[in-house]
Amino acid sequence: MNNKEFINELSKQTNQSVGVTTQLITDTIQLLEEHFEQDDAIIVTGFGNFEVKKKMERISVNPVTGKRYLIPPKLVLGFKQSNVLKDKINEE
Amino acid sequence: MSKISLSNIIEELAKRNGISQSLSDSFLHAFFKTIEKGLVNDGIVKIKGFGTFKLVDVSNRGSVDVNTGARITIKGYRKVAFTPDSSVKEFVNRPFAHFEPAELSDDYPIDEELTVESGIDSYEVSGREERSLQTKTEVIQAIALEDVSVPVMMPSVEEISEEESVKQSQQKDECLLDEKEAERDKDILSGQKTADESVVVVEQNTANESVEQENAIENDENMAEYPEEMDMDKAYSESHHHRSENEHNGSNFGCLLSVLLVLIIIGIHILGSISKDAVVNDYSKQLSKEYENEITVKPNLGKELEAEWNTKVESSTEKISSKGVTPSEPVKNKPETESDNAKKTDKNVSALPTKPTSVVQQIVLSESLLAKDIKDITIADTTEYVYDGVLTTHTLGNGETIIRLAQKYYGDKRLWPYIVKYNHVDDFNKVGIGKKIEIPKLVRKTK
Repeated sequence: MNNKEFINELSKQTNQSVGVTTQLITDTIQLLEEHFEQDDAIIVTGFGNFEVKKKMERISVNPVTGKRYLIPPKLVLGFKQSNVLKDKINEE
Repeated sequence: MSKISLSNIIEELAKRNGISQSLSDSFLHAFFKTIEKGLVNDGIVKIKGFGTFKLVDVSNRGSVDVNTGARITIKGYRKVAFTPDSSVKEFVNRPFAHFEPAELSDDYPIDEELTVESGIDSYEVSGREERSLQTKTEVIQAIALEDVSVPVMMPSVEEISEEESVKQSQQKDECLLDEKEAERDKDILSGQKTADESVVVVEQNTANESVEQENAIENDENMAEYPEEMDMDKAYSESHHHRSENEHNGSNFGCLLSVLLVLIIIGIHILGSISKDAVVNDYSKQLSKEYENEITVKPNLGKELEAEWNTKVESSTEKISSKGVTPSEPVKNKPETESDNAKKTDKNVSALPTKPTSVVQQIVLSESLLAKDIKDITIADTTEYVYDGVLTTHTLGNGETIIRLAQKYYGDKRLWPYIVKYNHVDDFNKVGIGKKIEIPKLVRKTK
């Protein structure tokens, strides 16, 4: 399911026009991003958790050149499915 | 950082866009429902500006039950993997965006974050290590003490339980004999003496069993080592031994170590010779038995020099060799006369110079045999075929080995030794790239 299909499906379900749905989607994403920026964990019951995690810096070696690099720390958005979603996926 | 539930998002979305709470609610619920539906139908949902949800199979994996310790397999399942869009990724990582991967120079220490504190830590660790080392040495010393004391204690206990006062009087007689002999011929080695005396013991004590005989031999050896204490009471001499052990504990430990080394080296030689000869096999068994006895005797030596010990080992081997010639003779011929005894000593003396050389010869023989075996292994595969000119010349490339060349040109990687032998490669594990290897033509040998 690509973006277009997703928007169509969503507009059908909410009985809204595609334009409004697109706007709502972008707004929602922006809202979520703002929360992520504040290090908030977003819990969607029945779906999963979105959480920003800090990855520590590490030293990696380029296998071709043998050079060593210090990889800086970074913040990564992670997602963990809820058990409800897991059961639904694994039904078939 | 706080936990935000969907209801908070619904409120905020309604507030920001000026839409009703119910619309916001239904929209967001539909939003995640649609993702779910898409996942179930297609297995993948792409949302522009947010990311991709994708179904990923997690395979079975083994684990261990924490409570029972039994092996269990955790069944594989499907999970939703979320990969955020690059825009979201960058947005989330904005606080750390200014960092960039830095190349490290070769001499740059890996633990570059070591500060003064960690330096103190390492110092403390080294101090702890030192302490643990000290305790270790203490433990080793304690073990050595035990090692030294146990073998001496064991025979004495056996003696007390098995032997009686009659036996002790006999041993006193032996002591006297010892003294006489020591006076008579100082040149003869102590091992001979013990051998002779064992015969004497057999004559005197016909009812004794073989175990007791061994004990007697040990006692004799003890006496031979300490000629000045022969007159003294046996118990007293033993206690004296104990004291000397405690005094020279360290030297004893060193002696034990050296003896163990010598034994291991000799043991290897004997092992080699066992496989060759059945007679040698018997002989080595006796040897090893004797050496066990020697180990128990050894702690009594205390301060005695290494050279003296070596002569002792030699004499003991001689003793064994003489025993090996007539293993059951002392038991069978109990009522021997004095003349027989004298003859026997003569025999022992005559046997002495020949036997050790034969032992040495056997050891050298076994050594050479071992070396031969090793050589045979390396050239074992190069006997079935003969060379018949050069097939091609191959320049060794990256990742190629001689074994792979054998597989390539002969279709059998087991034929690699021929290539190695033909090219006179010293170390086939280290053949440089670009080395020209001549591939010989192989013809099966006709017998």
